[in-house]
Amino acid sequence: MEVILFTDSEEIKVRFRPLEQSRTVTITYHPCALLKAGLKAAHRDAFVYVDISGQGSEDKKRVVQYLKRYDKHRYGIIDPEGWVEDVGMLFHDGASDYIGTSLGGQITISRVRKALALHPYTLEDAGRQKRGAVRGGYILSGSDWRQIRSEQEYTFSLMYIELENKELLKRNLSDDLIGEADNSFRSYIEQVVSEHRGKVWIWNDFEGIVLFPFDGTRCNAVLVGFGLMLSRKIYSVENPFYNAVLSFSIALHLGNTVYRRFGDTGTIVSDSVNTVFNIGRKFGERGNFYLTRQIMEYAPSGMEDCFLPAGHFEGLDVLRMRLPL
Amino acid sequence: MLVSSRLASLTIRALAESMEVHTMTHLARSLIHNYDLFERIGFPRNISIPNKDAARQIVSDIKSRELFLDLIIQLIRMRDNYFRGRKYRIPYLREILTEINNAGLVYDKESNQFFEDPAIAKTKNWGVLREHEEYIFTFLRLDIVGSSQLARHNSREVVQQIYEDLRRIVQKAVERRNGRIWNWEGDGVLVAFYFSGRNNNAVLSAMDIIHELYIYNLLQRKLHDLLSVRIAVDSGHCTFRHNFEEIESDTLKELANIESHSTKPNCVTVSSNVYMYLDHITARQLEQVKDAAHPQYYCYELKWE
Repeated sequence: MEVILFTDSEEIKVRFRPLEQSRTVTITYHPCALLKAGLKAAHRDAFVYVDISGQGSEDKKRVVQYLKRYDKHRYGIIDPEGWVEDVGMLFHDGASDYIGTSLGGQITISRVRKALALHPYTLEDAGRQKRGAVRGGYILSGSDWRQIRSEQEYTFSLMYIELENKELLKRNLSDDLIGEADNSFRSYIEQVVSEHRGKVWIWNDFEGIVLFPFDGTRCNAVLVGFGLMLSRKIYSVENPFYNAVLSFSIALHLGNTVYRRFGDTGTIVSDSVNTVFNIGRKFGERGNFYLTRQIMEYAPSGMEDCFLPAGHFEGLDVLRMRLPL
Repeated sequence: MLVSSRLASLTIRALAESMEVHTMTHLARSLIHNYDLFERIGFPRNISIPNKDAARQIVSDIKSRELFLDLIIQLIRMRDNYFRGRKYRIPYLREILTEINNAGLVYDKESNQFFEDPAIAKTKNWGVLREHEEYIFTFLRLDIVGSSQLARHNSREVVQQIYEDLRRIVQKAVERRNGRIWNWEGDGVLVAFYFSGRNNNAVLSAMDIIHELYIYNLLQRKLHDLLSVRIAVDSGHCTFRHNFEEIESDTLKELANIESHSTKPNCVTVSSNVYMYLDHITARQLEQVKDAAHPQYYCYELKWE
């Protein structure tokens, strides 16, 4: 974490000393006169503190106005003279911290962390990322989760996955153990998909939907589904709940949906989510990995030979993975 | 293992408060042959030794002979099973195990052994095996097929990258199943498995490596030649030495033989020593080798519909 302090006061610098001793924080000091140049040179993840003490009222006003319009860094204002009358307004205008007259002690890492958490991304990001970049009809969600915001629509690789043997499990296990087996299966899926930046998005009773961000160039979710099918026998042996070879039904499709956090997805209406559910549940034989040709175009090169044409579903070309025996 | 004073003190109290001196002596003798408590403590034989003094002396002797973990394993057995005809209630055992966990070791119930916590350390002897002592291991040996051809057809940088990728694949597969890499030769690797489920773990690691290499070859085939390996799994006695060069073991010789003479490329050959202990699902993935000379071997190969 990088902290940049603009101040002309030695007294203020002393209050930031605890940050100097931290291994996780780098702090640099600049005079107030270098505010604009210093901000320009600063890394965009840095947190900026600006000390407005020791300046005339007009200068203070100018600095506050400048920061109000400024949207490249998260910032806090140091005002030991209590010049700012409406502190709440500062926060509405984008400030993440305010150190006023009441602060007698030193600035702690914990305080800076809380300030950083107040606006988890910069205002410039908020403006730019309201919607992902659009390319070829896709609303790109990026290569990871950093730019994805709740309530915004994006294109994702949508993976449906279900444990085929769940009925057998329900017959053989007590209710408590079924719950544990479901959690264990979900944890396994979470661990496998997270290696390729996937997230379990919807989950219920041994089945769920996983989202993978899509950057318009490559879709590693194909590799994830392939690996799951390949290693299901190993997983069957290594999981204490099962005493049989497990079988998964997997479907993969590229499509759009509004993103909401896990647990808030009940009212989401999305054709793509319906499509992937239906391919997984209703299309072809159970225990297979199906994907739409559209997503195959973005699969890592070399994987085409592992899939066979399997027919059409709602106008989409569907392929099926050749299964390991 | 370094025994802290708190751990030693808890163990002394556990011994002193759970058993008589003669039981303690028997316990010590189960670990140190002909242990003579009176001689060690210096009391005349006609005077009874107070429990706490006896416990202190025994713990000190056990510690100095580096048998402390064996003593704790015996205490766990006395609590869970029987020792000289009865079960014992051992106080402070939970605290003792917590202290040992804090020192980086975990207890494996199935094999009644301690081993190092893999989240903290991964050493060749799991933190507990002793130099020069003989143990029964399951070994996995992997060799690259056509390594010299691979080196001829690809640049040095590419070959280095391939070896690095293979190392990563092997390491991930074996270490998540508590295997330890004992030796990387130029184009091969030897991995040891010791604790509970070692046969299953070795075979599953081998299968995992074959799967990962399949994916690796799929993705990399446009960049360089396919990477092909042979893997053999066998179990048997071996004397543990930290320096791999000093290990002399018939089991390892037999393993090398299985790998080089009875294993096809991209296959795993498993000896009957290992096969007979496999979980039924794992065993069903293997086929008996169709070779009259070696009917006792079983093979795993990735086959597609």
